[in-house]
Amino acid sequence: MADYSAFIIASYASAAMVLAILGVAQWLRFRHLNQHLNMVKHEHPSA
Amino acid sequence: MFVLSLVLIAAGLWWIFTKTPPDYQQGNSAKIMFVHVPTAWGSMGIYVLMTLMSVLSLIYRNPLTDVVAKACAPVGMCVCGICLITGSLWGKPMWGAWWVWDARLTSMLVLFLLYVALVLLWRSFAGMASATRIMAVVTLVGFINIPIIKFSVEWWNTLHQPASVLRSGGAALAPEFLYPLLYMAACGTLLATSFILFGLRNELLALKLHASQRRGYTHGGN
Repeated sequence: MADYSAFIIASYASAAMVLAILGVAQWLRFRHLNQHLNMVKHEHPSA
Repeated sequence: MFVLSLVLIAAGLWWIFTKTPPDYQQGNSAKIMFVHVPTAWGSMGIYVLMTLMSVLSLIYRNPLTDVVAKACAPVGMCVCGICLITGSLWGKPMWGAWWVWDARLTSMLVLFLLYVALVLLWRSFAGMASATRIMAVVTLVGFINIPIIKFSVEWWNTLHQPASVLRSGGAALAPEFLYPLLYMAACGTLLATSFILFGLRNELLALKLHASQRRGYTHGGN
């Protein structure tokens, strides 16, 4: 029977990569928004 | 939830690669099914959730439903992208082609493009009051594609195989494949839910920031 390991590895690796990109993008956006909100709160404590 | 889903997926991968036998026709390439099929279900499921949120948004005008729909779009786009990539990597050894313009593949590509359009539209409409209604209507119109994807293998003669799990008459898969497949689908649902919740948290933070900007406090962000 043919060996399809390259296709199998590529499938799981690409899935992991796409999800990792999504996770990093969400985390970076969270950090960015949080930083700005903290700055606003710091400069305008009543905000 | 995120860490739990990763641990459960790792256990699922161990199950797939050590316990499930090779398929009698497709050999080990059938192991691609355990990531391809759950992502196909997930990409349609997320779109159904977005449609439901859009309907609720149009009826009740609840801002939370718009935020949930907005948070779902990038997750759905990624899940659908994984489905297309893994399908292509499964198609090459089985069909001898990376891509064919058959009804199932083309309708899935349309769903992916719909997700991309929705993500871009949400970004370009950021801050517009009328955006939520426009987006709800666009999402509803795109829902037409979901039954087309589901029934494309029955309505047209396609290279893609017909449904073998969600079909009348019960699943056509052997239990050795069916149980790990359902397990991976459950793990994938948990992972997608945690990504949607991350996105929801970001959208709520963005709303908070916009609200403080409207009150005159500066320091941008989107």
